Formats: sequence, structure tokens, C-alpha cells
Amino acid sequence: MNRNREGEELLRVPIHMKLQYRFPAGAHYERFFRELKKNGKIMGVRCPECERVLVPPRPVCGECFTRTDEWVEVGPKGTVVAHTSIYFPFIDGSTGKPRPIPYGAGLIQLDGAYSAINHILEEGDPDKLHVGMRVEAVLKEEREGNIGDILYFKTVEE
Amino acid sequence: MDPQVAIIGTSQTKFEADKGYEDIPETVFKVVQQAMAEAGIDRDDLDTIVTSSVDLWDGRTASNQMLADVVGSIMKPESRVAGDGLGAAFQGMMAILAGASEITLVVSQCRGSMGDHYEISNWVFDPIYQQPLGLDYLSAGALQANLYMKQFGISQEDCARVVIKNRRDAQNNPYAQEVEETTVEEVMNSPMLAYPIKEMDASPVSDGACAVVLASRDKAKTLSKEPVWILGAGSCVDSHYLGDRDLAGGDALIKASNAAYSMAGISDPLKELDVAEVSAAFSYQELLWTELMGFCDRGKGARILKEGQTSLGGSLPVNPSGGMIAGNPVTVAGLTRLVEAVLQVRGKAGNRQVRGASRALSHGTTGCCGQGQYVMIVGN
Repeated sequence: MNRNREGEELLRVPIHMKLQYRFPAGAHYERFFRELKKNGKIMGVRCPECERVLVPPRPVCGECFTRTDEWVEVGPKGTVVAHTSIYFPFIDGSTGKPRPIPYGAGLIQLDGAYSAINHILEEGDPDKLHVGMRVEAVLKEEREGNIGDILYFKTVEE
Repeated sequence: MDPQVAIIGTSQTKFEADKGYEDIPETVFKVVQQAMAEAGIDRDDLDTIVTSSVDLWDGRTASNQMLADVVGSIMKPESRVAGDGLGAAFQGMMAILAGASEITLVVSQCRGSMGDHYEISNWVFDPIYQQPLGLDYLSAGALQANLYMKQFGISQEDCARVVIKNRRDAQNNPYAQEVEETTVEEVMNSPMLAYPIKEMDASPVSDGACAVVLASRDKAKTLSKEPVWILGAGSCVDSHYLGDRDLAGGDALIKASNAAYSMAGISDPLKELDVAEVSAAFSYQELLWTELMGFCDRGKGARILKEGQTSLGGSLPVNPSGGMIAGNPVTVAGLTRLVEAVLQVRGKAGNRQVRGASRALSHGTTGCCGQGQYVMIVGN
């Protein structure tokens, strides 16, 4: 399949697209990352109708189709609600290097929150990961105001 | 009410890991010509065209525009669904139901071989909170797999049996990507990608295209000796954030399938459907989706498979084509399922034919872990 009928190599046109975007942070992202950077706090928003606390914070509760209006601190401890161990390489945007494998990844329901966020777990062994395990956010010392300010979630004994 | 929209022509390419021997317009032109020939129409008969493609997979902006020549849309109305091909069939059906079109061509194409699928599926996620953490279809699928399997006591061997069934059945499908038959042991020993998903649990990434010609009731009766009717259709979308959803629950698919069943007058899908073609990118998803579509009780998907109920010869064969494990031209998958469903109802599915099939279900998903769900039931 890599050659044509005459036995010549098929022509390929390699294209490397470098696209740059500037996503607007918006009021919710902005406050979330400001609190995380300055005060090391993880924030969610409460829906006035269903009273669920949503993380990451966002302007509208999709289920109620209502504006969220109240900021609530959540975590830093939480419970793993789904998990996996990743065995294929991923280039970590914050370091530019492949993350060592296997590493744990999960959905973490932070204390006080309804929805769960995805993040990296300290524990990467599939035999040691389980739904319901307790974890706690480990924050960077020098925070920059992005999701990388949460380094990973460490396992805690309670 | 009598069904108002029929499928009067279908075609699909062979799905391959790399169709680098021809360009995209060439591939698309072939399926368009075949589907139109089968429908007995020419370009003048086309009222509307709906295409499905995704820019990031195509490496282009408004990537449907490069296909205007080959889908016959010059000086005609064309719209594009940036998602699964079964979603495009929905739009086509709606154009006819709205009276805006009598004949609609639906075309879907994808070249999985062109880009890096980890990178492209990473871009599905929101770029601020999720993308930087490396989430993609595979790792997100693994979260869903673990949750579902733990909740219902499904083993990795149970999932491996899906691979065995689909690879075996793919041998009967001339359009399937080359896949070999396998054993539980082989699947279990294949390299771990994202626990519990191993290399052989994941569908390959493929190149391919599909086309379907839809017609209004009147046109279908004039043009076609064997129109296949759309008896029921439903679609539903869940939240984007995985952490907002009940990943092992899947209300979106329950709603989509119930809407389709109610329209088609089906109350017991396992008994009343003859065959189902399901878009499962990973082995566990076939079990999960069949449960959510009510083929069995929750948690019993593995059992009905083990009992042979979802194999050829069983009460409701699932994916006799081999499904996506036999070829996954990402956004084309759902339309492929519809083409297979139509072939089954027409009795033209060759060695993968379910004897006497008269009602078939096709299923498509879009986004991650089944965020968007489509179900379409066809029959004669």
C-alpha cells in the first residue's frame, strides 16, 4: 500500500500546523484561577435551583438552565469516583516532557462539590486504585494561575 | 403514521488503516456514485446534501467545502454535521420531514491515518481545565470502563469476548479492515493502553467513507423497488464534563433509544429487533450500550453475549459486521452502522446476513464516552 502500481513510493504531503489561540478566561475561569494562584483555594459555583456545586465553575447550570450565582470553596480533599492507569506516553504541556508511565488519572469529587474533576493521581497502580478512595490536592509552591497549579492528587488515609 | 422517509441507496468503502493511495475526493466520489446509482438517481434529482466530517481530522477549516465537487453540491443546498455520520442522516431525515427536500444525499468521510489520534481527541476537551491533563478518547474511555465494570462486576475477560465475537464476524465482512480471529488469552496479553483497556480492546483508527440516499415517501415508492423505511429515530446529548455525568449510567442513550422505540412501536427490543449495529470504539462499550438500549437488564450485557444471544444465530445479533473493532473511520462509524442495518433488512448482507431480518437498529455516538447519542431503526 505504500507504493503505486509502478512500484514508486506514494507521494505524501506532510503538513505541520501551528495554530495559536487565545481562549478568553471569562469571569468564572478567571476567579477560579485567581483563587487558586493567590490563596491556594479550589472554588466551585452553586446553582440556585438544584443547589448542586459545580466544579469547574461555569456561568450556567446546564440541567436547570439557570445562572449560577454563589461561589463556594471545595476540597482540597475529595473522593475518587472513576480511575485508570495510563500506559501510553503523553507529553506534559507544563514540562514539555513525556509523563512517566504508568500514571494514575481519575475523576475526583472534591468535598462539597457535586460534579467531579479529572486530574492526575499520585497512585498509578491499577490494583491499588479504587472508587471511593480518599485523595487530596497537592498544589505547586509557585502557582501560575492554570490547572497545572494542582500538581496531582495524593492518597490520604482517614 | 406510515413512515415518511426511506433509504433508497447506500454504499461504503472498504475500511483500511491507510488509504494513502488515493485522495479524499476520490474516495468520496466513489461512494457517492455508488449510492446514487443504487438509488437510480442523478445529480439533478438531489434536492439537498448533508455531509459529516470533522475539521481537526481533515486538517482543514470548513473541510466539507473541499468536497463540494464530489458530493454534487455545486449550486445546491449543503449543510455539514461536524460529528458522527448518523447525525448527518438525522439532519437529512429532518429536511425531508420538513418538506424542504424530496431526495437528500448523506455523506460521511474520515481519514484517521492523516493525524495523531491521541492529539486530535485530546482537542475534544475544554482547553483550560481538561486538555492540559492529557485527557483523550482512550483515557476517558478507560475511566468509563473501570466505573462500569466495577459497578456491574464485568471482567476483562467478558470484554475480551466482545473482541472475539466481532473479529470472528468481521471475517464475513468484505468492507472490514483486515483483522484476524483471536482468543481471550491473546486479548488479555495484548499491551495495556489505559487500564483496563488493552490494545485489542480498542478499535483501530481507519480511513473510509459512506453514503446514503434518503427519499420522501412518494419519491421512494416511485424510484425504489426495495425502499428501507426509517421506522424510528432518537437522539440525545449529555453534559460535556465527564465529572458531571453518570458515566456508567448513560441517560442520553436511554432517552435516544426510547424515543426511537416509541416511534417504531417497539416495547421489547431483544425480541422485536432482528439485528443491531452499535458504535462501540472499545469492547466494554458494546456491553454498556446494549444494556442502555434495553437489550437486557443493567449489568447483563456480558451474560447475553456469553449465552450467544448477541451472536449471529442468537435472538438479537449485535454487530455481525464486526462493528468498529473491524474498522473505525471515527466520524463515519454511525453512518456505517446505518448502511449495515439497511443491507441486513434488504437481505444483501452476504455471509454476515441475519436470516429474515426485517427490523434493524443502528447506533452512533459523537464526542467522548457517548456524550451525543443517535439511534435509528430501519425496516421494510
